[in-house]
Amino acid sequence: MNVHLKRRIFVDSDVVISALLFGTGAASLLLREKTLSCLISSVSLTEIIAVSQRLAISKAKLSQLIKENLIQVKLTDSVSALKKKYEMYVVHAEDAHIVAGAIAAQSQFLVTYNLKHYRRDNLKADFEILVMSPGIFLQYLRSQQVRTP
Amino acid sequence: MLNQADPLKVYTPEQVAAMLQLSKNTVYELIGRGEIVAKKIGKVYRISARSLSCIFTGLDADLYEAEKEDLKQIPKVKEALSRVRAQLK
Repeated sequence: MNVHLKRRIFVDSDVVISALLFGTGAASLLLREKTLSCLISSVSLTEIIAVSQRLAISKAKLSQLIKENLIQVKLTDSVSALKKKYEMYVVHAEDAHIVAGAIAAQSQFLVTYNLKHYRRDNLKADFEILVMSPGIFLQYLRSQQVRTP
Repeated sequence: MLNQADPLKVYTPEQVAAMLQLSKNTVYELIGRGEIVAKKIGKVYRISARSLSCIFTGLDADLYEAEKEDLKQIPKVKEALSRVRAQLK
């Protein structure tokens, strides 16, 4: 499928780490879904690398996942500037860069296991971004498939 | 209501109809189409709590299991992530 026709989703770092830890989990299924473009930000990448080191995830595994399944969007603002700019969309300011990434990625979906950390009504109202867990998003994809006779 | 704490519990189609606010005939149709997975024992059906949990979570069985797989370790992931996130500048 042409990359421009793929649905763009921004994935929180917990989803990427989960995919690295469990090859058969919903996060892994999501990132390997060929009809999607899964995006992370430059700030997400920094934290994914740091968390991978803490959890003893191999660098090779991480590099392969990034190369084959993820697209990176660059965030130019500092993390502290992003916290101020997007604080009304998150419960904890530390998560603001994820919102910034989803907006920069022009994604309609933010997929995360931290559903309670985001102010979903604000995100939907201001940016039309829907926040879902990996399983729910995959279920949504199935519901969108056109059945052929 | 569904007892998710006991995966060995089974329900009759009539009980499932009441839970889902459907008619008994609709439940039998769903069983016939495979949308509700039921075990036929002699001439009657029994439906496991595990089979129904997918209906209540809104996920197909495979996705429910796949998400459950991730959720087992998600507290560890969240803890590591929150420590790293707090140090981002």
